[in-house]
Amino acid sequence: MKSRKSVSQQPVRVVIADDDAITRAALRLLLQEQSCVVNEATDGERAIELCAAMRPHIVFLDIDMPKLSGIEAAKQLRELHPDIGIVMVSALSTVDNVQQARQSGASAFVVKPFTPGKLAHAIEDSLRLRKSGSSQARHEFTDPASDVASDTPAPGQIAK
Amino acid sequence: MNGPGCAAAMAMHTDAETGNEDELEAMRAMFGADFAMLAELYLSDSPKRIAILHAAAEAGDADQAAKVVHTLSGSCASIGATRLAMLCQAVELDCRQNILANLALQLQAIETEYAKIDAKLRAMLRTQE
Repeated sequence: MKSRKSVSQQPVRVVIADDDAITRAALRLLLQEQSCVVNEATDGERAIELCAAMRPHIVFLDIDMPKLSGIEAAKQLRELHPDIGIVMVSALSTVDNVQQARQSGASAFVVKPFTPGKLAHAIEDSLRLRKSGSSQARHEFTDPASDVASDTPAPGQIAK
Repeated sequence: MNGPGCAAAMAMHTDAETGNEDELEAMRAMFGADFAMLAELYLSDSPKRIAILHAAAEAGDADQAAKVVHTLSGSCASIGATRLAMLCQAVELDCRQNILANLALQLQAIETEYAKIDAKLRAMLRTQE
């Protein structure tokens, strides 16, 4: 098992926020496999509360959740806790979704189904951006198809 | 795997007629013994969500339909039921635009596809025991 450590060599603390129990379970299993310490929320409001209490390195937000969407939660978290890396999660990578995620302050966008490789990449990017400062994180964004900061696709297209 | 391979993999999901079985098997290989827990959760939750989707469709409630089909789409994608996830995504996109004209046919397609996933998962669970 590959041990996932933060820049301070502590286990990476992660909050998962999704209203779907299957998605939370799948994500939790894969993150724990990478030695992350995982806490779960079922909506955006609870995610913000958990982030305040747990001070995770990274939060995974479903783009559409009850009470507070992932997009709205990301905007609030970016203001409240700029040091937390935000990974937006969706089954659907439309241009609108990716663009909204980017504008909300997310540092990466992961499309379901999850794989260890996708998650490892998102974690590494988020930790790297976290280390380099939140202001940079606002301008660098890993979308589902790019390893580097990407250009915005034309509206109406599916993100590649 | 956020690189170009991700986009390529997604395109493959779109095109592969037999993608479901491959995806479900890939998920089982990835999750190992934990796959049974995920599959049982999925088999327990999905019929309830499809019933809520039916009720929303009958009531003409596009907002409720979009919400429930979004969650269903997410769980389908997470378990590897890729084709069903895509059917759900099409419904979600229509409902977000308040387009309900095709919903009855779309629901039928979702139920047909779900029946295949249900049978496949149950068969997989039997062999996993």
